[in-house]
Amino acid sequence: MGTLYENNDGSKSYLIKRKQIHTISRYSNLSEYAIDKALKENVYNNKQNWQKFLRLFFFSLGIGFSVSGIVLFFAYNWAGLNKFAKIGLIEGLIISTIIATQFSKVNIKIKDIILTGASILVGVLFAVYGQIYQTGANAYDFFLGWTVFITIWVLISNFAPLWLLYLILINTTLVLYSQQIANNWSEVFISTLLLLVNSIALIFTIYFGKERVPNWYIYTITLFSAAAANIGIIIGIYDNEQTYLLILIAIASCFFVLGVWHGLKVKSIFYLSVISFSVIIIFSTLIFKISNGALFLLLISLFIISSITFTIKLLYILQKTWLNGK
Amino acid sequence: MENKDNINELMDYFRSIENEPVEFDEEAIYSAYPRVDGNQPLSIKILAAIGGILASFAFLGFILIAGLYESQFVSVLFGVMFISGSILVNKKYNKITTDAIGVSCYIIGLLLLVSGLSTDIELNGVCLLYILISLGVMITVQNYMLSFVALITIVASIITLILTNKSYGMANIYVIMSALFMTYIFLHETLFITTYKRLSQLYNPLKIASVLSFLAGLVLFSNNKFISLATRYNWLHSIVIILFIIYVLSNVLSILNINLTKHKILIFAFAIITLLPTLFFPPISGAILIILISFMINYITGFVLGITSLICFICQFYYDLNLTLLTKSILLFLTGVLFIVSYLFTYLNINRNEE
Repeated sequence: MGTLYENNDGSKSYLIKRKQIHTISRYSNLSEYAIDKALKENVYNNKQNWQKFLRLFFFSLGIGFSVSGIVLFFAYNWAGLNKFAKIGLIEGLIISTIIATQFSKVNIKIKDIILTGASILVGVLFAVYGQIYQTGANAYDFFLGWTVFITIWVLISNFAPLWLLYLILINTTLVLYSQQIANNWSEVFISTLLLLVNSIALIFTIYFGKERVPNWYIYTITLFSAAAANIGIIIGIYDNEQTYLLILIAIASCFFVLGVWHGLKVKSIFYLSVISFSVIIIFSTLIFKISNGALFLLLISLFIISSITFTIKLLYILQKTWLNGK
Repeated sequence: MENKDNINELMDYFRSIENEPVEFDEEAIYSAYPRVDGNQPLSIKILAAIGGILASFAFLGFILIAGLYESQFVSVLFGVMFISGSILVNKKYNKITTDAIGVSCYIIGLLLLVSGLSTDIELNGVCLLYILISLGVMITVQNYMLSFVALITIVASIITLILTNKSYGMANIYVIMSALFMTYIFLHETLFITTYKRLSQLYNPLKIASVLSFLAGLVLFSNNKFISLATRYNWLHSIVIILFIIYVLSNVLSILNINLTKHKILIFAFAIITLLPTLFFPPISGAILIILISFMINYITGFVLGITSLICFICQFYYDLNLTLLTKSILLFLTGVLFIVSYLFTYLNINRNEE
């Protein structure tokens, strides 16, 4: 049923969900009055919720508009500021935010958010520097510098969005480096690198992260790594690149096997679904490459349908055994 | 079993709040219940949906490559077959994979139909045909996904009719009627789910489809920037929407126990004065209407849609304003201060009321 909660007068009642009310009303002769009462007591928002909402609404609108006004004001005057003012302003912001995280007494979550803001400001600082001095540096230099300079903050922070930002920066640096400097790296090689970097980050997170790592973060990195592996293998199949493709396939297989083992160990369907979906895609591309006609298209479609159905059935049975075993 | 205990408790709860004796069709409730709780994790659902969609497209690919679409008659025939197939599949099975197959079959059927008929009837006729078919599908099948797609087809056909015939009058009527429809559906949930069993199952898709159709109307017909048909009567849309907002606000005020007429009039005046500058830009008041009614019935999807569209519309409004950057920044800052003042005002009032 819904969750049990305590009323204001101490009695306990269940919070019924909307779907349950809909289902029951379809198969009974309850009157409008009863359904209305049930909805108002359990589903619709009451006075306290409205008060909270209105306060939050006005406060957010107020802060949003004021901050936008201030930012636009600076944007208006930006061209006219001299370069010391520009860089000094941003550096001043970074310093003040870091001081705020160290010496103020707010909630640790807010401190983490401020630290993330400071890390983003470091990027802004480098961008402004590049814009003022027109150094002509490659974009990857900018991302590399940004990554290196926020490393310490990321390591001490234990804050998932900041780690995600850090990983995005590392990936972007690698990709831009390969495009601007190391032009002879093949796509398969880049994908292998990305797969390695992301899976090492994933393993690091799972084994050293203790309990506090949020699920969305692990799932996102898993998706990144699986995507890198998939894209690399698909490009490799079409490119006829033998050496790196074999290495990629070897590493990807280790990754998939590890993923399946971990998924079975922590009883989470997610890893198994992602890995099975990747394997299905890879095999379909393989069949597509050696096909040469309409009939093969039908064969591929039949293969996809049957493998997905089989996988879903398998996952469903696994899920049921886990639920019953609890 | 867990489910049976839950259902028994639910039935007891309803017996306690109803004045007259109640009958429950217990067997039907027991069989409908497992789908209500939805134990399947999201990953399986996504896989199943992708599987279903791929299955239908595979079959479509086979038909296209076999060259069957070149004959008009065969196209129409296959179109009708696909659409009826989707209805049959949804009537017989009730799983996610078959949902996805049903929806893809329906869409492919519609496309085949139009490719077969495109030389015989023009766009207007096609839109009307789509509306009729979708209505029929909605009446026969009570499946969430398929009804949702059918409703979206109806809305898209109506919008296409208005756009291609450049009918300014109908555009105005569309915006006003969709606002009315949406507010009515949201505020009369009880009426919809108790009247007919079929209507009850259509209620959820109707809710989201009404919000989407209202947003589409705002973006296309009230907005001077986008596509073609922005009318000169924008302010009319704003006035109607603001009237609806006042109506909803009166409901909200009764929930908040603010009953003095003096206070009520003050609040209404504040709302009207705040929204008056956006008179020629109805989307902003429209978004606020969506936020208010979604919050009232605790409909999270609508709420999130409302907030996101409010942010987009406010950005667009200020971007289009013909003032210098300096004036805009000052204006933004002053508006922010106004809102913070109202926040403090409501905060103080609430504290004072509770003492």
